[in-house]
Amino acid sequence: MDQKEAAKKVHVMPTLLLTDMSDEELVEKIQEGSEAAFTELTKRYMQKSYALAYQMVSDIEVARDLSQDVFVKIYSSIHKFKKGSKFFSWFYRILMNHCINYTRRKQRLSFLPFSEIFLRTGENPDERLLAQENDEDVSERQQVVRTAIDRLSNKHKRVIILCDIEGFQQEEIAEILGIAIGTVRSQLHYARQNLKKLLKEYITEI
Amino acid sequence: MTCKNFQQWLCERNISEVLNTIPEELRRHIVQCNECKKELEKAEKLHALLQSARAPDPGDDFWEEYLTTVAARVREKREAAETPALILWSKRLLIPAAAAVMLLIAGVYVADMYYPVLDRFYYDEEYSSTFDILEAHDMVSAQYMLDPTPLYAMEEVIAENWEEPPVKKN
Repeated sequence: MDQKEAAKKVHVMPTLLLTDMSDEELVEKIQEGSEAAFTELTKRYMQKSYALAYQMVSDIEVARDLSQDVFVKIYSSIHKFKKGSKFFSWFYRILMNHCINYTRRKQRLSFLPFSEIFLRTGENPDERLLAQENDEDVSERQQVVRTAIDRLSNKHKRVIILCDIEGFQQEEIAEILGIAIGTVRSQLHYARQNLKKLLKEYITEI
Repeated sequence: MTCKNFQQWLCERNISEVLNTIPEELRRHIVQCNECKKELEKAEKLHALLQSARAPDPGDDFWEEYLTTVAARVREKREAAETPALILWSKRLLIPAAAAVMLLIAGVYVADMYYPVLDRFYYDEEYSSTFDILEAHDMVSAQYMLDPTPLYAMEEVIAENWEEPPVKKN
């Protein structure tokens, strides 16, 4: 009798849909081997991933690639995710580091001779220049702002992007970057000061 | 409220928040203080500029193929992880090893152009005039073990040219 009641209860109990699960619950499912849970998590974060990657690298093609690549990293290191921690901060930390590593590699590559760079990327110099020209349909001001952001140090760049562009709370940023909130505020202050200097013309002009 | 308080308040907030939630006492201070007013205006302008730098739309195709591309990359990664390490490493090492062998061969040939080492392994008639004939005999003897005819000829030449060392006189 008891068993029958229990069976009834199980039958009546609504199964939690993946879309209703929290990120952390989905991670648990992925750890158990659920591919559907991974797809759901990817759906939730794909737009944020692309937006942040673009802010970090300022290149649409590269941002597309990095934003997808980070999910492969997430999948392969999902077993390292600790219970009790927040998925969003873990995800953004991996994404940020992935983008910073890419930028560093790119900087190292830029010390090579011109022809060598194209040998490595497999592109023709003329084709690359043409592609750059096509990308220049974004307004001049946007370009200037992007250049100014790119000129910031990695420390300043990441807090400006997370706080003033993507709109994260300072507490969240501290969690993502694994630093104290006071450090976030101080880095943000200096980053804003630097940006104001770099965009002086536009700030006084508007 | 002082300028220092205002600066601190500004630092503790996102720019978008700052614009919507200025407390009354701060508002009163800003009206009186020209410096802080300018600072707030700059913050507003910076916010507007940063908002214009948002990521451009990568296109519908990208979003439509996003999940399948990620799934394919994950599958690729998983397959690579499942491949035995020995096969993986042998695949990775195959090209560098082949390149190293090629380089070695090329290096030996280039070195030989400046310092002919390889020729020592072959018997060449020209050497009989430049090398000491006895040394040449030693060098080729190994090569002609199966067919010693040239060796006999060479030994005859040695015998013909042989000179007794001069006897030392006391």
